[in-house]
Amino acid sequence: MDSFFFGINTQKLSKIGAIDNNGVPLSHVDHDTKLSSEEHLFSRLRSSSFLRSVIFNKGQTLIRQGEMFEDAHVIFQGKVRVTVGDSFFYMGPGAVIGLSEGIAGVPSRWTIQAETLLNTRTISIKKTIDEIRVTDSGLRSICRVTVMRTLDIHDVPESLK
Amino acid sequence: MYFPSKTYQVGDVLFTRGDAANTFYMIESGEVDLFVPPANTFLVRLGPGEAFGEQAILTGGIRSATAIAVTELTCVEMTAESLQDMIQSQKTLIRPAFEALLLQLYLQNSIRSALPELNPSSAQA
Repeated sequence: MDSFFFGINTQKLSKIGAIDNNGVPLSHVDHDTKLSSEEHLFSRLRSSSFLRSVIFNKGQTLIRQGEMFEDAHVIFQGKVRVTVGDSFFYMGPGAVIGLSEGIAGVPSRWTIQAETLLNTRTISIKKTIDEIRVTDSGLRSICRVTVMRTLDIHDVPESLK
Repeated sequence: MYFPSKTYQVGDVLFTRGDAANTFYMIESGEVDLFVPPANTFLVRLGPGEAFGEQAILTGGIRSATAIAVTELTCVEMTAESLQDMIQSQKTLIRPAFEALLLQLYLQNSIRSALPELNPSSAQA
C-alpha cells in the first residue's frame, strides 16, 4: 500500500504544452482533446485568480485526523503523505484536500503531511458555502451530490440544504 | 439557463452499466433505484430533490451502475456540454470551488478503486 500515489501527471501537461516551464497554464489548451476531464479541471484551476498560493515545508502537517477544515487546498506542486490509521499513501498535483469535508462540516478522515516542499492554492470554506447558498439551483444540486458522493454520505449536509 | 425535464414510466431503464455517461439527473418527482454489478445489487433508492449520474460531470466516463424508475419519474436532465457552459458562465469563487469539488470526486473515485479497504462503499452512479 505504501507505493500508492494519486495525482495528475504534470509532466504530461508540460510535454503537450498545457502548462509552460513555470507551471503556468496556456489558454489555448482549454479545448484540447488530448487532456482528460481531470487534467482540464487541474489546468483551469491553476489559472484561477480567486485562489491564494500557500507554501508548506517538508514535514509540515496540513491537517490531522479528526480536525475540522477552515480552508481547502489544491496541490499544484509537491507531494503529501496521507496516513489512515496504520496505513498510508501519497497524493500529488491535482489532489484536493478538505473541500467536501469543509462544506459538509465533517472532520478530516486522514492526517496529511507535506512529504516534499508543497505548493497549494487555498479555497476558503466559509466563502465557498456562502457562494453555494446563493448560486444557481442546478449548480447547487450538483455541488450537493458531488460532496455527498465524495464523502460517501447519505444525509444532506446542513450547508447544502 | 434552461434544462429540459423528461418523464419516465415504471420500469424504464435510464442507463445501464457501461453506457456513456453524458447526462446528469435531478429528480423532480418519483423515485429511481440504482443497482451495481456484478450481481445487480441494490444500491440506493433516490427521490425528489436528489440527483444522480454525476459521472456525466467528469466527462468521458461510463456508467458503473444501472438506474431504473420504480415509479413514474420526472427528472431535470443536464448534458455534459450544458454543465460545462454553466460552469464557464460563473464569474466568482464558485467556479474554481466547483471545479475543485469535481477534481476531489475524481481523485476520491481513484482512491476508492485502488484502496477499497479505506472506503467500503465504492459504487458510483
